Amino acid sequence: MKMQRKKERSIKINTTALPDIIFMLLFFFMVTTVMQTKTIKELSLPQSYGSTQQGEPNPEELNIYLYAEDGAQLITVNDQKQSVEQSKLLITGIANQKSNEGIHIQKANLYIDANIVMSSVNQIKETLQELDIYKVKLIHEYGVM
Amino acid sequence: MKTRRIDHETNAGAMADIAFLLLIFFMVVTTFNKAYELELSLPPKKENTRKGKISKQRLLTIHLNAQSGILIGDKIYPAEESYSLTDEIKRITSSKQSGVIKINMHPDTPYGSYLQLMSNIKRDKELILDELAEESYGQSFKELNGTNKKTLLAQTTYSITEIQTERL
Repeated sequence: MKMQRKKERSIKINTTALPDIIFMLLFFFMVTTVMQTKTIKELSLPQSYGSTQQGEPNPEELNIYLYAEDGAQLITVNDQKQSVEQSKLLITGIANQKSNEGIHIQKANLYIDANIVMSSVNQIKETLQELDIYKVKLIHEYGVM
Repeated sequence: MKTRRIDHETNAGAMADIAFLLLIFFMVVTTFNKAYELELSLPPKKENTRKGKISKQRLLTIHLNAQSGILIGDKIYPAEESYSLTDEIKRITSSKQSGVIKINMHPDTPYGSYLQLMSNIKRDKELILDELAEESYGQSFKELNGTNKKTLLAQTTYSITEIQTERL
């Protein structure tokens, strides 16, 4: 009895949808890629050793930016800009506003320019202490001396 | 007269190649901005005026000047010069009580040098913990279990006091 030869089948994979998938991934990366975000143009964060920032920003955290612009020291909290001398009023006002909304601020993230003097930083720290905000994160860039 | 219909077809065969090329390019060059943090716990306002004598053995005094220079004990380090606090931290934490690091700073001290000091303290404490863990348990600090970690942390506790000096 003769054995029947198996017919060779050519397997073809349909790749019509491949460009669609690739384009979808491409658009995803193009849309989500953030080259660099600097909220404040003049801010140059100091470099230091530390651990990576944990977690996502949440409304119970105050983001405080301290920087110099045209020779004047400025503070920005929740997109409100003031001179450093007015920092106490600004931070207290925002904390009270949040408190009225039922949000109790527990942490503050400080983004401070490397050249800001410590008297301004200490002023901010004292204001935070007065508002019972004891957890403070000093945000910086990585660099080893 | 009949005209011949010409079928215009664009060859889209290379489309996937181009898309792949762009995709790989974006995947390679994308860098997500990483921020680093140094966490501090501020004391409640009323504790700012704590009084009492601290023995020299437990005390480390550091001075920061307005030019980013640093004086640790009796050694002066100019700005941009690296320094280690490991020996000093070991000294102040060698007794059973916790040590005290007192930082005296000029009002015009740049924030950059203050942050550098704070992270060096943290880095050197981690080095000491690793050294102790290796000596006592033959492992790095990260590999230890919770109880052993607590034991070593209790041996290396200190508090930091910050004092802003007056302008002359």
